[in-house]
This record gives sequence, C-alpha cells and structure tokens, in this order.
Amino acid sequence: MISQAMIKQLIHILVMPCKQATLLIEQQNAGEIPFFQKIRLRLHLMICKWCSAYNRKVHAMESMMKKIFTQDAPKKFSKNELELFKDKLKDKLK
Amino acid sequence: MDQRSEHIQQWIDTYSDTLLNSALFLLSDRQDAEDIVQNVFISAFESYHSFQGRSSVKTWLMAILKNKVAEFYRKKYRQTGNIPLENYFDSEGSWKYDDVLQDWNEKDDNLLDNSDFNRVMAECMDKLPLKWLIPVKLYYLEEKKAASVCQETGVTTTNLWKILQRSRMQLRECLEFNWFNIS
Repeated sequence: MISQAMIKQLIHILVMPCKQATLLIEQQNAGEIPFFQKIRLRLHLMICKWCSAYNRKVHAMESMMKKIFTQDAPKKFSKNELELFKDKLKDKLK
Repeated sequence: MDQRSEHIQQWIDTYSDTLLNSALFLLSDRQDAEDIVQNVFISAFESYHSFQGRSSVKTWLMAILKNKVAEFYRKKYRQTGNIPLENYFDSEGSWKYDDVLQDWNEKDDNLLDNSDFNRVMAECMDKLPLKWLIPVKLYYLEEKKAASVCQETGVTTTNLWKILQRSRMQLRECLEFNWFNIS
C-alpha cells in the first residue's frame, strides 16, 4: 500500500525547488546531467511555468552565445591583420 | 638561429590565429588581444626550456594565454555586481517575481544581426563579476567541455554549474532591462 505520506514524499522528490531546477538546466545544456536528475527536471518543467519560461530564454541565450563565438566577421582578425602581427612579432623574437 | 628561436617562429606562424581570436573573444578588444598574445609568445620564448613537451604546444600556449587574461582582468577591472541567488528565489527556492514569465518579443535568430543588440549583449557580459566571466567565456570557447574549463580555471564542476546558473540569471536580467523592456 502506498500511503499519503509516501506520495507526498515522492512529489517532494520529483518536484524540486526552482532554484535547483535552474541549476540542472545548466547541466542539461552541457550534456552532463545524471539520468535520474534529467527525469526530475523534465517533470519539473512540465508543471512549472516559471522554469519553462526561463528555460526558453536560456535556449535563446545559448544560441546567441554560440553564434557570437562562431560568427566570423567582424569579430575575428583578418588575414592581413594576422600576417602583420606575425611579421612584427617574429622580428621581435629573432 | 638556434632551436629555440626556430621553434618560436614556427609557433607564431601556426598558433597566432587561434590565440588571437581566443584572446579577442575573452577580452573584446583587438589591441588588448594583440598585446596579450604578444606577451604569450614572449613568455613562451623565455620559459622555452621549462616546456618539455608534456602537453601539446597549443595546450601550453593556451594555458599561458589564460593566465595572462586572468591577470589582465585582475588589474583592469573592478569587481562588479555579484548578485546572490536570493534575489531571484525565496527561501523555499521558488521564483520571487513573475518577470521571467514574459516572453521575449523578438526572434533571437536575427537579434545578433542588430549591432545595437550586440553592444547590449557585450555590455551585459562585461558586467558579470570577473571570477564568473572567465569561466563562462572559456566554457563557450571550449565548446562547452566542462571538464577542461574546470581544469584550466581550478573551479570544481559543481561550482561551474553554479557560476553558469548565476551568470545566466544576471545576463537575463540585464538583457531584459536594457533590451526587451521587461522589468
């Protein structure tokens, strides 16, 4: 028989605080979330509208961060700049 | 030319590209990036004999770069707003405010084409406390390999998740305040 108390306990285990869920979101993104935690997080996101809204924003920020680092121009050094830099430095360290 | 100079010249040719662009990402300033990478090669030149091929050249140079970047930040930047999680969550660990529920009104795919948005994003990143900023930037630089970020910064994995969580909270708040007009 499953008692009321056990059910409550189970819910408490599954439905973790948002503070913890938002930490698990980071681990999830890094692909380093343990299996049981992954399920807990999924359940939490299903019932918590705050964290699921937050999760959407995290995803948006993730794709921005990724793009910021992978996008070429104008954030990177050009071929010319590179060659100039190398020549200058090689001269210095001869 | 002795062997040392020969190697250094080779390394400058091979690794300047990676080092400069990593430095630019970490520092967001071209002149600073050039200065720091130049110092990396000078350091490598001076401590050439202590490099005994225990790691790859690239790993070694990147390690020097990261030290220099950390040093640079320590010198140049103030510690900024270090927002504790209690600003976002109550004692039960639930969200304090409902602002998180308001969706962003713009398609994020196109946002980065907007130079104004890029500026806001860069400013918000730079407002992160220094001790978070470097791990966060490295995390993206190393394509989200948590283990190598931890190794390079001396942060534990548990702390890295916390740093990412807090930085994310702060970044979201900053973007919403300065761009999405949510408050």
